[in-house]
Amino acid sequence: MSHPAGFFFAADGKLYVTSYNTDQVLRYDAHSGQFIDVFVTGGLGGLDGPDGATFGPDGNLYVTSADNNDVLRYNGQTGQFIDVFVPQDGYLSYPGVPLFQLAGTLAGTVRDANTGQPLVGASIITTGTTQLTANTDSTGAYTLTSALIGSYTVTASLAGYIPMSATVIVSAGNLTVQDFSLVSTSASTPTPSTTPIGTPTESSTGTPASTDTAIPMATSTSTPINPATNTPGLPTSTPTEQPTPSPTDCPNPFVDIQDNTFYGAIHALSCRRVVRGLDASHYGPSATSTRGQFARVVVKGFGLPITTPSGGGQSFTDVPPGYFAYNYVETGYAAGILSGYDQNSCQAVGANYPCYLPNRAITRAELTKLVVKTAGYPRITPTTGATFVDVTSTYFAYIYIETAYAHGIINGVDSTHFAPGRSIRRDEMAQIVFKGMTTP
Amino acid sequence: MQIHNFLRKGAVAVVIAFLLITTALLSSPSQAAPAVPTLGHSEGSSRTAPPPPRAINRPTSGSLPNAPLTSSLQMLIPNYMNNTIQGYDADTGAHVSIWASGNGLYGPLDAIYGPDGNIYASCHNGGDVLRYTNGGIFLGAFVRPGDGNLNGPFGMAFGPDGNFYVTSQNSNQVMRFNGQTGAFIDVFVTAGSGGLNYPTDLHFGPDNNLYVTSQDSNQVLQWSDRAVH
Repeated sequence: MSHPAGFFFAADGKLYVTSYNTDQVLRYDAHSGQFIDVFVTGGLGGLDGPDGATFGPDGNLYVTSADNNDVLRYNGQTGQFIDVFVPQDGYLSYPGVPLFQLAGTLAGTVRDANTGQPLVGASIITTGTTQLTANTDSTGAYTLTSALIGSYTVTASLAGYIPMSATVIVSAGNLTVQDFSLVSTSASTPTPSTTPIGTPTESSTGTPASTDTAIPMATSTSTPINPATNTPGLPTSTPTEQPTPSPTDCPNPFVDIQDNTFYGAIHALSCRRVVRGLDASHYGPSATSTRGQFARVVVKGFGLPITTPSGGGQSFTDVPPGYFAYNYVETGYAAGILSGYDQNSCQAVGANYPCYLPNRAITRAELTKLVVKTAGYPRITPTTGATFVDVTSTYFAYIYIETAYAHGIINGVDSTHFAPGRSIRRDEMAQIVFKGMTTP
Repeated sequence: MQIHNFLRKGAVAVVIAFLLITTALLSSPSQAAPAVPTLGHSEGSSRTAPPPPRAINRPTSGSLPNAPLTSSLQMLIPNYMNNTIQGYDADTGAHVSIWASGNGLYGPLDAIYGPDGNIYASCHNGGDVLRYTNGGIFLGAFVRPGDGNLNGPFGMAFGPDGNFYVTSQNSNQVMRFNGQTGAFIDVFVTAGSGGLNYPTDLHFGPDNNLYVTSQDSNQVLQWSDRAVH
């Protein structure tokens, strides 16, 4: 053993250790510590600088080759070389310990609450750990295999019924059952918060036809909502006090904002079609705002005329025409209020320069700068020095943060800290944009 | 490729020793069995088959990295040099996504499941531990830079007691944190204890003892008084 790196205890009672300097994987008895054998011989299959190792779902051994930037696979019984599982592809750069995702199965049945009859073609959508969809079959049953372990919000919906949600936890290798009994809209007393908005006209379509309020899923992003997360830890001190919602001449379509501190802003912006829900009935207040989402909200909120490059060109490699935020990112870029990342930042995440990284979370500093620039406030520099100890005069957004603070658009997280790098929640985004729109 | 000080290769490394500081406890294999893998594959006991989920800690901030809308399982690989965790199709090895990047992911070396079903990544250069949902949604820092003077975190494990253990490579220590809040508890293995020199990976064995690879002394160490129950 020379310069051991990763190791693990296996179910076979053995301890597997990568020996970095000798390019081997060694085995020891897990109880006595006695050396058993050289399981993977030195440099076998090109192994160079083994760092981490683990058994995969197929029972074979996967080893990262840190000095060669690839992943090699060996027979889990014999240690014989099988193949280069991941070649040098430009994505691996000094790979560490690999981790295989774990999954379970989520299943259940959807029935009519009054008749008990199975409902065929009901739509099942999960949010949370990741987004999954399914439709109930002729027996009203649905099954989602390979559901990553974690917490999910599962929503069942069908035309003519009130959608229903439940929170479940899927654990490794286990079956989690979540049944639903849906109440017919004709058999209930609907309230604004539970009335289905834009439900499909045909029950067999399976997916909600609520395209007007749903974020287009053309992105490769899983968009979380977590309606159960209302209070603890919520940074309520962040944006300033709740404004008077101006145009609320539409019913609130969201079931998850009733008790939200920023209900007024979300509702008002929803009626103005500035913000949309994650689906027809959920705003997802605790989900994080992304740069792409924010571009849309700020451009629509401030009514900027849509400006795109002539001939359908694109300013950023990762915001192509057809992408949901394309019009808004281009408009904001043309107006000088949005910008992309430099070459190094793009390369660091595997994107081609110039990139905008629309799926990246927007930070408090970025958002504040954009709102101030868009609203066109005169810049304010405090004469008594920086307001926040973590936003000094050399910080890129210093003037914008001071300006926003002076206008009452945003507060610090406490009296002395702004937390400029912290992400913004979707409810906070609505509040800050609404304040910017309505504050002279 | 540049040689990194945390994995120095080519040095004179002669002694092959698997030194168990104390073997007394190991002679009683009837001790508590490790968690049993439930997916039919045998990873290390501390990274397979997480214990039953506890209450999920609510995220206070998050991001949406390029996690795919796919239900296919991925092999996740932290990459020290380009500050990413890459996702590969677990069946085919095809690249699926840049599973995580940004948000302070500096020099990631290890990724493990927590008992809450979330994924924890150690950032050797950031000095912190970041937390993600299984789907790749960033949940914030679990251990923040500077907490407990953690210096160069690498190997991580949740102990049988539910606490979180991580090697502090640059200070030759193992730190212990609250497994639910991430609050610093103490230095669990003091600097250089038992000859610990440049610790890399860390796991709990079938005997509930802590095991650590000591890279520069070419050993796997275990401490008789460091069993966790």
